[in-house]
Amino acid sequence: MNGSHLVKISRRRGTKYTFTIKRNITIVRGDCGTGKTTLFDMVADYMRTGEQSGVSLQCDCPCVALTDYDWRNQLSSVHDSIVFVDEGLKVIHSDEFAHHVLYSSNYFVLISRADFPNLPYSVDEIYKIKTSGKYHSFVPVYQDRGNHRYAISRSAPKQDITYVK
Amino acid sequence: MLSVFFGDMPEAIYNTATYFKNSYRSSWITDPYAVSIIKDVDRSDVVSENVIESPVLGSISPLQLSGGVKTLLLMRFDRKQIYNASTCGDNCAKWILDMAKDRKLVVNLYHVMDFGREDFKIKVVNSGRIVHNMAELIHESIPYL
Repeated sequence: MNGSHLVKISRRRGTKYTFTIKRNITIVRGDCGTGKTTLFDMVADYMRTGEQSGVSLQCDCPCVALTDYDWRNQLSSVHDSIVFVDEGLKVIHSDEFAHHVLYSSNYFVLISRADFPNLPYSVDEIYKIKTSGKYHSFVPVYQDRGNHRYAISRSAPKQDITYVK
Repeated sequence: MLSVFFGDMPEAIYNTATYFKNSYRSSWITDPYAVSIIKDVDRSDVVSENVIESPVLGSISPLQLSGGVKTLLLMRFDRKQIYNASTCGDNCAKWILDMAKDRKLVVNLYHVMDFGREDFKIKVVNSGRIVHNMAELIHESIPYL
């Protein structure tokens, strides 16, 4: 599979994601509660029952969620697709999984905060999810800022805690 | 004090969402500390033991909370296990440090969590060393990640 692929995925309840996958390996990470698992679950629901799931998915190639721990069999039957993998799949960090990624015709979207030293991916393809109401999009974690090419695009996390009584 | 173990830890619960689904108690959700976590991390309001009001998803069940909140609740209420804290984003770090203030809390990390600019005290189990800021933590994590 070559080139960029625009993915639009939404569900009737209103959550909507729009993003472009540009290379064979894309990493998605970021804070909790930004919608990473929701995105994965929506792809998985669409994969199971299509439009009848209430999820609508527009892309010029199939999108697949790697949900089964029998991931080897699942991957062997998927070609020229965008494969979404959630961090709950522990094998995501193994050399064997990396081998499948490297020698596959698929694009992979890996949802994980850990680094992948056994995979060659671009720093430009590490994203976090930006949420604006019910609309979600991918924004690069590392951005080109003039003299400091890959400055991290976020402020330091707030350390104050507010207890609800 | 907080202790972190970097890298693969077989005895730790890796998939905390699945463990949460099969082990959480309804009473956890309405505990004031849990309500504070859910409000801060997921920006959601607890309505009852089974209903949470999310600004994005609407009314959701506790099973639809973010992975980070689920892990924080497990750390708070099910203290027998060690959990994979790489399911938590940096916005959970202050809660992990807060829970470790008055007890021993061991977590498993597959990445370097950003614990903020202020000083802290974290024991890196792999080496046995105690670190006091992010620079020391990053340096200490290098051989194990």
